[in-house]
Amino acid sequence: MQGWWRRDPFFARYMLREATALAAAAYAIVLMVGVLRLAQGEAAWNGWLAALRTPGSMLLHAVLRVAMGVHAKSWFETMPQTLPMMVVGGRPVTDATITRIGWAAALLASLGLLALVFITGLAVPLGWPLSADLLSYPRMLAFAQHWLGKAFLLAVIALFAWHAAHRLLCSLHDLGIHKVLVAKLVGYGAAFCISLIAAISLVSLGG
Amino acid sequence: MSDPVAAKTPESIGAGPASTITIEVLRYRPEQEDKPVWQRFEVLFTDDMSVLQGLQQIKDELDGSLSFRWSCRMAICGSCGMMVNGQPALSCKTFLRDLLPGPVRIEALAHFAIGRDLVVSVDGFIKKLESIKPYLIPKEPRTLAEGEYLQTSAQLARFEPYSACINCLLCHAACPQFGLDPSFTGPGVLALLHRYNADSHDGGSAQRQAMLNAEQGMWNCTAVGYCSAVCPKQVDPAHAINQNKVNSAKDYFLRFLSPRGTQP
Repeated sequence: MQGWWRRDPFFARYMLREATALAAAAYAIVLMVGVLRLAQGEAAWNGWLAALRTPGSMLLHAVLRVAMGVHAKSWFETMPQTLPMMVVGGRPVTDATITRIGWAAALLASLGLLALVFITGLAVPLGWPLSADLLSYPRMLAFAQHWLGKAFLLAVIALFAWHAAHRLLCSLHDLGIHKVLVAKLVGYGAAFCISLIAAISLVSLGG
Repeated sequence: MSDPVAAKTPESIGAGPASTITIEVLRYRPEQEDKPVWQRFEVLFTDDMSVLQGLQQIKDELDGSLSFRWSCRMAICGSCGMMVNGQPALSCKTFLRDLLPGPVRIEALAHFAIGRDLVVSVDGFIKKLESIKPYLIPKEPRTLAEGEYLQTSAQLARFEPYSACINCLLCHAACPQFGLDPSFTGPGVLALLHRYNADSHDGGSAQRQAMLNAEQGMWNCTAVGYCSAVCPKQVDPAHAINQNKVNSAKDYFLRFLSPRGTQP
């Protein structure tokens, strides 16, 4: 079974999907750091924003965005097989419908991202009369102090972290490394720590 | 527009001499060779020939020692599964015209021990199949006087696709997790397990739950999904397995509340 993923294009696509879990892990870490820096005060938050605006970071995020596109597309293709059979109005929901709902959600999220990139990266630097302080400390603080904002941030960070840890552990198995307790402790432990740091930071912000 | 089938002839795509195709077969005759070797055959070819017919021609005309399983020639017996150009397929349902210009490479099903040529040992599969109790276990005994077990069409729909399995083993040959760890129950057996668990006639899911919960039972599955892609009967084993992951997780977390398991 050495190098089995080279045997069939189907396996290559599967391994690509699994590799993009690294992007999910990267997002969880970047966002966790963001929440942590927000909790540490205005200077720390502005430092995090400045770090995100460096060319290296922009390149990384371009790569991550492409990887997440592959991730979302391939996982939504798999989604019908992971859900229970559903019947709506006496008819079973088809696999294609489930996949399309997932893609629609991914499209909406991408549009939201595009709007953010447009406002913060283009409109504001060009001096258009849009909210220049969209990601400013007071605004983000207010967002993270609202219980809905807290719940959203924690859900995104924790779900990304646990999903990435789970898939990367599956990949160890795929690479021929089975039943490694240490790997599980490290993987799920890291996901737990990321979730915990995010939760503590969010709680410390008050509300 | 021309007929797409008729248009795809050896001449039209420059496949050399008209109406022959090269078939390469991975031979293994234990008394003759230590490990499998490739052997080439030139087979007379017509548009309507399946891969199985190609093999039958080899056995009838070229080399009578070639061994392979087959029976129905119409994709319902599940005997003639093999690797065709590296992918699991029923040789009766795969046509040579779709594999032009060749050569067509035929091997025994992946992940199974070869007994002879294209014949694999299915003992492990049968043993696992027996272990999941692939038959209806009534919820309670019923006398004839009590009448039939009734079922609605909605209840039938919950398991009917899984009952189409013909035990052809293509999904096991497709599953890298089964290849990596042969103790994994495998997609076909798990699809049949779900066929009975999801049947409203059946009351045996608690008996099947213990083997399902085991690491090798179902948790080896990493949702590759190739099992469902190669299934010749659209059984969708990946869907069956993942529905049972939910059931198994429920069973794990709710076992303290309901000692006999969560399954009805």
